[in-house]
Amino acid sequence: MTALIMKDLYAIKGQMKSAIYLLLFFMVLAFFFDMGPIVVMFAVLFGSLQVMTSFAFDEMSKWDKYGLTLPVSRRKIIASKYVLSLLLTIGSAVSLTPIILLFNLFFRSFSTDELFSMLCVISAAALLMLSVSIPIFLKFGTQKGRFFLFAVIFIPVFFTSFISENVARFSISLPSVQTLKLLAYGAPFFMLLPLMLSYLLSIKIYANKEF
Amino acid sequence: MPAISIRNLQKSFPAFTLKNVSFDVQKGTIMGFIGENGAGKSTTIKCILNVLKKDSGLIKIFGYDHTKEEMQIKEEIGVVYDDLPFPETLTGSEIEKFMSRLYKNWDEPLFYQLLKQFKINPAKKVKELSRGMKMKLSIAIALAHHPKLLILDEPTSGLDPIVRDEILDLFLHFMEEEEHTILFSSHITSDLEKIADSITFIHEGEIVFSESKDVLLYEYAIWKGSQQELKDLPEDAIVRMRQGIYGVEALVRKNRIHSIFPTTRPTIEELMVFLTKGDI
Repeated sequence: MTALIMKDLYAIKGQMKSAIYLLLFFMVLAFFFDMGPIVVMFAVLFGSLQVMTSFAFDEMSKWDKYGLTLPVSRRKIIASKYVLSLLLTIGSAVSLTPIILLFNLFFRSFSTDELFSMLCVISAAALLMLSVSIPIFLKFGTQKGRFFLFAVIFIPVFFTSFISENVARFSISLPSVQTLKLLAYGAPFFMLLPLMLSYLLSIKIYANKEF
Repeated sequence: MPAISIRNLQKSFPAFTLKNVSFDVQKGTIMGFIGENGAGKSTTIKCILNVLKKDSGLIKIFGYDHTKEEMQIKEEIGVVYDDLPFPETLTGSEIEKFMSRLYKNWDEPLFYQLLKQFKINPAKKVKELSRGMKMKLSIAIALAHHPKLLILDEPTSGLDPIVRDEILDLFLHFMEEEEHTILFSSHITSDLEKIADSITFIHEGEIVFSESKDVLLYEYAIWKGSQQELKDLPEDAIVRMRQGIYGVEALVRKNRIHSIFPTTRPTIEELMVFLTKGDI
């Protein structure tokens, strides 16, 4: 399985380089315009999106029809994509930690606490997005899968912003800040369950897939 | 024991069916697998490799069921498709790094020696390589874990004659080991004429023949003449015939006609065309 993860990491290496340049650009912007949360969001989501890129590379090169001739089981091929998802999401989140601390050193408009809880929520969102999109990509391919992905991102974003703008109208009582913070920190761990379910579903889809 | 043994293989798609495909590839031989585009060559190969799931039938490789002992079998097989199926951002040395972790018998010095022999820069990305170079890299990858069986699906299609010749030499070099076997699918029959020991011909999902190349080329002959002269040929000798601009051509069974009839030895291509398009 390590071999397959290495293959994907080598394949997306170029994309990762561009992502780092973009991140640096956003950091400069953030420095002048005080946009810490945007940097966090961009970095984590971009990291996770590389898993999708790896699917696109596989599809373009018709890798699977070759991968299945190697001494590696279908289950391991799928497992490698999920381990890659975790590695990229956790990797992006961890590599952002010193950046967040640095931000806090220069300006204190966002507290470290606030940025870290945001990092956790975005990592959780990224894991949820991957949990939904990996089986979709396996079933429908990356071309059709993109439309589903759009829906997967757009619908929750729309729904959340609708709720948050109408909190007063619907007389929703929000939990305390302390509870929200706890929920935020726990969010990535809660997402391990959908990720596990998604993995089992993907194994089922891939077991019957032909190339 | 054959290296590959297939019995009554069936695989259905909405527009195409493999019907009761059966043949053996004997150890230590090269089998040419021929047929027009869409005849079922790639489908058969993908079923052998379990990339496509067969509907029914029995496939054994080195005497083992191809699904039950899949991992063990795949350690001993090298596969070459008609393209290099790796993400194009990878370099040769990156491919080597992860492939070496997949095979127990991976031979790093052999891989780099082959790359040197093929004049392939391992630092070059797949997308920077010419088609010929890509195929050579694909062959180097397939050979670097010392497989006993090579399964080649149109490995020479789209290559110029010089590169094709170099590649055929590589396969002949691979066959110097007594235990080695090749199943070579191609519609470039001249390649198979050069290196194959036996030929299996598939047409519209069915095996037309699976026979030693020499037997095939000695069993059949091509007779050319006029419509009038055709009447002199014994009817049971004619397998297929076709009307040309200058007369009639017939594929005949050599042992059924007298030697006074002038015939020529057929090429595999002629056999394929006659058996596919000729009239009965």
